[in-house]
Amino acid sequence: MSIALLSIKYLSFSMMSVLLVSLLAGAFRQFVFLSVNLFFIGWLLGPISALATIAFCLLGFALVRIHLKWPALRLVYTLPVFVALFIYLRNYEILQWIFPPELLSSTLSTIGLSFLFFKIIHVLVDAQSNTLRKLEFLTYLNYCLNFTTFMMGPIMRYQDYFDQWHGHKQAIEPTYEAHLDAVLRILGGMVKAYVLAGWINGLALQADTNVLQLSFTAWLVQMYAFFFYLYLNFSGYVDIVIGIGSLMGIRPPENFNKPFIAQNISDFWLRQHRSLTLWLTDYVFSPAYKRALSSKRLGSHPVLAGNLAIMLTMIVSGIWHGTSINFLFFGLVHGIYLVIYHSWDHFLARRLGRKRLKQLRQHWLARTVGIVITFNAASFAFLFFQLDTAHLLQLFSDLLGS
Amino acid sequence: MNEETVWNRLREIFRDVFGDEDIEIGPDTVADDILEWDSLTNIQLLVAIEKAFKGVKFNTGEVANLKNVGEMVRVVLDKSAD
Repeated sequence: MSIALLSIKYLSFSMMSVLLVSLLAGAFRQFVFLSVNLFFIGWLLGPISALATIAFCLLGFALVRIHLKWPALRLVYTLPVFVALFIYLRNYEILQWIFPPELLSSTLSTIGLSFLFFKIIHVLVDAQSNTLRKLEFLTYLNYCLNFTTFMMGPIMRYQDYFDQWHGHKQAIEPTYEAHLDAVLRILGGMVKAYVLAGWINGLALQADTNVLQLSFTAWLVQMYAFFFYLYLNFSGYVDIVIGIGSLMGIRPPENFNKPFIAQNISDFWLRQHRSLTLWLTDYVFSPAYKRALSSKRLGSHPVLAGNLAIMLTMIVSGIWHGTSINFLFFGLVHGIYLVIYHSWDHFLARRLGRKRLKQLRQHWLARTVGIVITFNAASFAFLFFQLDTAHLLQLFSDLLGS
Repeated sequence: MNEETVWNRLREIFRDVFGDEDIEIGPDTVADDILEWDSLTNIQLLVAIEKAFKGVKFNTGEVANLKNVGEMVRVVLDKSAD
């Protein structure tokens, strides 16, 4: 992240914003929050990239309006335009192999663009489905550019933001204790993201680590340390922004729930980056699985249909996580894990029955085995998250050569 | 089609999809109330409902925003051609 959340500048900026947004009311509050967000985007990205980001939001808004005006228009006419623009702005590694360098947008800063992209897709799909409720230009812009969640989420839903902004839903209880909890959460998040994560990063796998030169034990330690580093860094950040959001009256959704004690890989993704998992479930997995199940060819093979939808979802997840090829492998590995788990679960449920399976899974031994397998599998998959493409390809060629 | 018929048919679909003859549903029933109601069975449920009620199709936004069984019944009543 290019703005340190621990810096005096960020802290004074966010506390000023909290005060302004909580004390003001009506249209003035909306304009002030927009100014706050625009200032933040300019500060974070610089003027040119900030303008590109705002243009991206405005294009999204125009497409949303088109869908609201012509409800019968299908997403196939609008979504590809938006996805193509995202791929171009995000400057995916693969574009270097297709286009000459002068055509690429490599000078733009794209911090936060992936999160913004998924937020706008959600608004677009909901508008087309007639489930958006009410679209307001300034509310939409502030939803998109909301400084608390702009850099790294959590991915909030427009309806949830709308309800909290307009006071239909409270971010937190209006009590002294709830506000104290929010402040403590910010402080706890800082300790996680800046003290503990910084310390454990010294032990963790780095992007240019030559994995094959490590002893087995050193490899395990570095892999586990990277998992905890990522957790502490990201969940610490989330604690800080949820704390600030709570004080401001717009609380982002929860994102982490002890992923290291997940009992299976499906449970892992409901505990790790949960707002992303729920987004992917709603906008990739569900439509893909529904279409497959409704089709003549796959309708009679629900397990296969489910596995195909899972694979597609995790490939999208992988590509979304980063622009280089290693993230595609990250998604593929998690896709394979989920397919194995889903098929195994289906097999056991057919053999034992759901009730018996549930009883067995509650046994301490089954839970322990589940946690150990999931923890190791998730740690291993982070190898593909952390190693850069060059070192990952080196690893593959060394493995194949030996 | 009246609401009671929708509830009765829906109850049958739930029992069939979750393989549990004892399942009871009401307007406030949510995914957390039924052990096996996850993202996979949710879609199996919705596809089974679409097959059982002529004219009913859940679009992506509806699937994403359905909060409880009461809302499912509302969509079925709105869209059913029976």
